[in-house]
Amino acid sequence: MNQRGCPAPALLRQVPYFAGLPQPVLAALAAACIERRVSRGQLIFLEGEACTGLHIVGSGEIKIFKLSPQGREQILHRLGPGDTFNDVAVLDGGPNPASAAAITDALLWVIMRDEMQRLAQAYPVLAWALIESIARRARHLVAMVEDLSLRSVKSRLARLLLNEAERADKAGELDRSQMVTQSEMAARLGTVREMIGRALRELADENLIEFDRHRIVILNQEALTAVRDGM
Amino acid sequence: MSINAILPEIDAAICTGCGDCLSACKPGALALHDGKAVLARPDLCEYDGQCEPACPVDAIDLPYVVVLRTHVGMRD
Repeated sequence: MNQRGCPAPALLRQVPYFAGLPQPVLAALAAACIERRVSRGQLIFLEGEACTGLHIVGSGEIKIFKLSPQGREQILHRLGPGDTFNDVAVLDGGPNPASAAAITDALLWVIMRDEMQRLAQAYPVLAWALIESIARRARHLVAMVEDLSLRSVKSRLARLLLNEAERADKAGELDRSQMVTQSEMAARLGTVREMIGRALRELADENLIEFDRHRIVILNQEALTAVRDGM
Repeated sequence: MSINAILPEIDAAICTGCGDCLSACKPGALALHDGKAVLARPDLCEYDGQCEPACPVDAIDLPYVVVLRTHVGMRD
């Protein structure tokens, strides 16, 4: 970290978003970064507020979410080290399209919109990286719309369980960021906890999963994949 | 993170102190303290998931790690 608490260019290269950028661009980005540390559960910004800049996750887990008028939470993204968020508001200058909060203690690097604009104008390769990032986000959101409108809760839950198992498998020592509660599952799948509880019980009754204290064990990956695929 | 460190999470800001979770918790790990449910005896907690659905205001969460059967024992 330098005197502004900024990441070294080598660290920024670990961000997939920036991985292909030349050294001078990375150095300029690193110089523009402002460090922000947030605690577990802390709100980072609210939907509708003025854009606070591009956020890069240095460590920890972040959720991007929207709230219904009744207070029900829909998680749009769950992000970890190397992920970025609030790209849309940085590009169009509009308000934050969703809210962000820390799932765990986290270190963030923030690049203000005017800095990002200046850098993107100076380095077209960065502008292209931004466009690619937005395109990936659009693909994710299209897949989410398909999920919410065309798949059952049970099928969506099967996908979540398989993804979580894969994520935990890749991670190191077990920590809270690799764990998920039924409320979090509901918020990610656009439903309520009771529906998640019911779907989990159904999967357990079918011997596809079992509860073992703090673990949900996938007993039959093939059959759970078939549930995910609606077969 | 040890198994013993993984316990139900009770949000005191949401808990109304109704006591429904205490009735649901057969091992008796929960108690009311200053009008809020607390995990008074974590050593008794069996992580059986009964307290979470018993809470009418969703103040209790049980975190789970999802594992493949082939990996059981590796994710403790």
